[in-house]
Amino acid sequence: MSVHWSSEIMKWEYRDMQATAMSVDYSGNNVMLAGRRWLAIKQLNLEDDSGDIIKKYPRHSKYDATGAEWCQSEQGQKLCAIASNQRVDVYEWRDNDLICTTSLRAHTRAVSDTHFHRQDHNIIATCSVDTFTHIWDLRDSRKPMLSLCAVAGASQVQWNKVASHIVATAHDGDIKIWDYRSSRSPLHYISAHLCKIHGVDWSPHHEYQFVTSSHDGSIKYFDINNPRRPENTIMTNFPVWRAIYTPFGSGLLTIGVGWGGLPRAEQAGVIGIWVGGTLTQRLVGHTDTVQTMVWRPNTSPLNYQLVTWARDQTLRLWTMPQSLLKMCNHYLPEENGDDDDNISDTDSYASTVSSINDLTLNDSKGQDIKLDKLPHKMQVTLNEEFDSIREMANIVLLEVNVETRTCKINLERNSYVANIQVKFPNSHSEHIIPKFSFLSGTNIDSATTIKLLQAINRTAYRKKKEGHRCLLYCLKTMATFIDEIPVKCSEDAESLKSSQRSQSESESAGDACIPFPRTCGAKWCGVSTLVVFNRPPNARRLSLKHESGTPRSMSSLSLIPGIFGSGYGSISPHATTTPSPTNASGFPLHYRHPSNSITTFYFQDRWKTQSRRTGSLRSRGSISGCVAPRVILYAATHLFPLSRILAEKYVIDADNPIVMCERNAVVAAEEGANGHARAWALAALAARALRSRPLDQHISSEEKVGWVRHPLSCPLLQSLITHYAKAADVQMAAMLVCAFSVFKDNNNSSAQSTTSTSSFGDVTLPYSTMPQLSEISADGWTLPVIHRSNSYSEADNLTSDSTLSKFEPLLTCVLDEGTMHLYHCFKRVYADILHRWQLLYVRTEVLKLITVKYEKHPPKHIGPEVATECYYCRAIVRGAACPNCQRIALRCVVCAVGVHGLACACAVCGHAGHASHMLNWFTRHDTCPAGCGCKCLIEANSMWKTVKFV
Amino acid sequence: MITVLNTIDTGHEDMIHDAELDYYGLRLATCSSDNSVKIYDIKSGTQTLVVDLKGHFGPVWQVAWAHPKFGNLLASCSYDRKVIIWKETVEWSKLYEYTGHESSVNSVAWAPAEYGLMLACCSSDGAISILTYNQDGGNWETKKIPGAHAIGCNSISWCPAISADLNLDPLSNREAPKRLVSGGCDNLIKIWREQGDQWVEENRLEMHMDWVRDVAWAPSLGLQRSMIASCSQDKRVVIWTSDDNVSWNPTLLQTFDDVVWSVSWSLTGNILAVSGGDNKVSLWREGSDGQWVCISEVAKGLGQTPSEERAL
Repeated sequence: MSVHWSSEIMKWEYRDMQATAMSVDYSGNNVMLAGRRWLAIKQLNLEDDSGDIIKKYPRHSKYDATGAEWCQSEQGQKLCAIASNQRVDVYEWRDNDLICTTSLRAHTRAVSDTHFHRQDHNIIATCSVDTFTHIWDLRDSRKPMLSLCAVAGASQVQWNKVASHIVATAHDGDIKIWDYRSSRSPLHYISAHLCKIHGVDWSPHHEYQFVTSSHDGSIKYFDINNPRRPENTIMTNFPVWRAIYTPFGSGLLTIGVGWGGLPRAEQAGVIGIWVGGTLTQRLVGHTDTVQTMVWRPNTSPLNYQLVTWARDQTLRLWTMPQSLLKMCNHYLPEENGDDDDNISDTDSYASTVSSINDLTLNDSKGQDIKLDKLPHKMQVTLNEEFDSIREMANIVLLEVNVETRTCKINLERNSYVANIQVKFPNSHSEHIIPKFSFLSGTNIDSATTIKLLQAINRTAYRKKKEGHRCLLYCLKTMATFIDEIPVKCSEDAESLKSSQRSQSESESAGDACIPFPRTCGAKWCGVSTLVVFNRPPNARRLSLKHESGTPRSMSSLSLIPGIFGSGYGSISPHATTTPSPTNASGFPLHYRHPSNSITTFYFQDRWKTQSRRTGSLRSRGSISGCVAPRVILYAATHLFPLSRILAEKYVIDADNPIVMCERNAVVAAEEGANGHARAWALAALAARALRSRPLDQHISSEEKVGWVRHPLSCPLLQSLITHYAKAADVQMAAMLVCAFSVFKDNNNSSAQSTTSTSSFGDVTLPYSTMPQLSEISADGWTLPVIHRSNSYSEADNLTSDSTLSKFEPLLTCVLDEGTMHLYHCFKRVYADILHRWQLLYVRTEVLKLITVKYEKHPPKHIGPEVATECYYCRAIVRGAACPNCQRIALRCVVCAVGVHGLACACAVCGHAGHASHMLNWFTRHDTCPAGCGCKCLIEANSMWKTVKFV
Repeated sequence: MITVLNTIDTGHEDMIHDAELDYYGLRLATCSSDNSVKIYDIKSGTQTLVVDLKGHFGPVWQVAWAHPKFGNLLASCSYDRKVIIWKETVEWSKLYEYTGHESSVNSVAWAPAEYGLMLACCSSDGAISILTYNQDGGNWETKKIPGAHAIGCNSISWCPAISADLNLDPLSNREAPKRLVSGGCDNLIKIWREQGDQWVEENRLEMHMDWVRDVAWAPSLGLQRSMIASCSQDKRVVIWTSDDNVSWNPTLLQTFDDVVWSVSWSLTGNILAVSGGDNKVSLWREGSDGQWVCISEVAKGLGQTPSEERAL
């Protein structure tokens, strides 16, 4: 399921070529195809898809070309070698013509492979079934420069990608590693496979690592420092023709037979991409065996391309999806820079190469111009780079070579050793970073080195972009990275390694990214309930070889012994797959049958179960004769200082804090919450103190503030609230805040005045006289409460008789805005808890005490608004009382008296009245009491239908 | 301190992967490898199966109840790469099915109700999706963060809407900045913030050495400090605290014996429940000195009858 399929971006077919070998040149623009009858050169061009072969040369030979190869060094980029039978012909592409410069004849049997030296274009290695591997100097091609001798015929020869003097050859199931400077005997002799090795590839990042693919169906990673056993093995059930490293991160590309899960004929054309031992992606397109695949040289790190040639006579070009690059721990340069920059970035790769390369036939003027445009910021010279690190501590500069633009560095920290080679690119483009690779002696495991490279590359890109020299910063990054690797004792590391290995060896393809299913969990729900589910106690885990702890990914479920194998056409090898719908991309989904899922991992301890309740097994359902899974709910009320009973019994009466505190103290004492009772009693005292200000208006201002500043009043209350909030007792904190909700912040009074004078939106219904919906509806709820306003000033104007106690200035403690906000938040959270307890009325009481500041940005009012036309002066009033004539604006249409309390209006005709009167009226009539003829009930109803309460 | 309230025999044919009570604590939803989601009415020690929801074609990993102001809504996510939102009208039925992921969907989480009806889900394809219900159009809008975590994203959690920001209306919190925290197979925890109509990575927290299995943003009382708990395959639980949601400080809670699968905060944000591969559940509370203390270990196993259960 997570195995993705992808197909090529370009495809060219050349049926007549009958080519058996293919190679891409150094520039990445020219492809050589070689067959028995023809040699052909084709240009790769994404824009121009003419599919034309540029040059075709007849080649009359009895033998197939067993190998074709372009030299991959800059100086030698015009050289190519064609191997055919016992001979290797070296051609040079000169003036758009292919000229055979020399023929290498020393092998006595068919040549199986050739490989140019990676740096010195005059050196080429050839190997043959005649057991010899010859290394030639092309300047003197009469006889090989030296010959490496083995017992068995050689099938592959590969120069190391980091250290230029090392070469590997494959002989049946064995690998020999040579240093060509001392050719007497191989450096290492590795018995790698039981069957013939088809492919060898050196790691692009490590001097000491390579991968082999063999006819026995396995792919093995080796470390030449520890050649006795492979670092890692991937088992497949089919012969593997080639396995090559991805130039980015830790991936591996393979050609094998039978990986597509397709009919046999088509299987051969599938290229598999493995990441961390798992087949993660398949490149599908070729209909017959893929013969050669090479990475197109000089592509940008954002856009790696693969060129393949298969027996179906098609040449295909593939790009690697970004997700894959990321999965391989490849660092991608950030793309969020400005676009121009990026274009020049990708262009610079192609153009720097092509402009110095007269191979390209078309006029490259356009590209040259672009090249000139490339910003030449302050270029950092190589010497500066090298000088910068000379004084750096903790590193040893092993070797500096300005000629080859490389240096070698040794870094030792925390018993970890990293030997790295840094190779600076030839071109001075600011976007190309140096290439870092690990040399022998490094003792950091390869997965970590890949991550380390990622980190280094990230630093390098950043510094390059900024125009700085990057080497110093890269080394610093590296040093810190290594410091962070946990130091493990060797034994530990060993067991870790083995467990990783066993896991990756057998992880089934699809589920490697999917976390291992949870079978135990605990969740807090509601206010104080803990929901727990876990495995039955007699479920034991299958003990897995080399493994401790629960595996991380779901693919481990296929580890159950005895069932592994039979290929991975289905996601889990042993899963019973059921036919199922296909998704958009067209590959069928396979679903795990329950009996093969997680349950198989935890088998039941049958013996125990059986001995205890014999005979009951069969009737026990499908989980291997055990109890059905259970969920247990735990009440953890005592862990929390929240009490539903208290919430119900507490009194909320913000107008009379003293009464509220005293009564709540009694309530708390009744319920046995003695601590709370004492706190309420204290609060009552504080409230009393605030209240006890002499009513005499003529006392000095000092005395006025006396109690407010007294440590036993406002500060005491505040510290009480803070204490309870810190102890997560939201209930007590919020209730205390409620009791003293007349706490004011500095700006509050001014805020209120702006509220009352500020005009709300322009859109009002013409005559609507509805009471203002409370702000509770702003929460998305239309609660059964409609109250006038939360602005005290308005309320005061209206009911000047009753508000004296409510709006006494003496109870004000001045609070800063932050505390005020915090207190509102407490109330909000407590309201939520009350909601969960379904104490809706208490919740509403609490919510009513939350004031909302509107002074900065008056919130956009959504929905209908209420405005009254004053009965006396015809002014538009947005409150209860008319600001002009100071009288109650709204007159009841039924009793013709001003409406103090709840009013009810018709949205159509605008006539309003006391809610009770209107209700009474409309029980008997359906027309308006004003006699305007409006059928209020019917018409208003239909009008409200379209209104949305958000 | 903890007493058994109820034991529910779920009748699932395979292991359970998640269970959650609704907002009021009256209904229990469970999901299992048998591809089904079940809902039970819980009342004083009894249970009644309300419905057995079948619609997934693979193990169902997680369920989540929405705030009741949107109606009775349940979201579930599964190995079959789908997220299904179920709604109770007269009967339970599928309200919406989201199929925008290319691999197993591992986690679903409803946004704080203040933001409206909004769901985040994350998948092994590495992406996070945010689904928003558009009331006017009556449709679901999708925003996707592709490649949020390399290899895969395992868990997601919302930042509470209640915020210490003074400019916010404490009642609605509608304007509070929306934040998400996610944990993935790249061993990272990432914090995402909505900016305009995009989600941008605000922060990444590095501490774990293996896959992050679960992340949970603690509920807020409105205090300055926010907390995130994370647990990982590396057997560790880490508490991240921040005073400004920008710089985060890790505190190692504990290294456990086995991998840790889930972390869950209590409503008051002061008690953390931790569970993992060793089949154990433990509760943790922060002491006054800032040290985290294990206050109890719950549920050795479900085989015991409630009376055998140790009173904790």
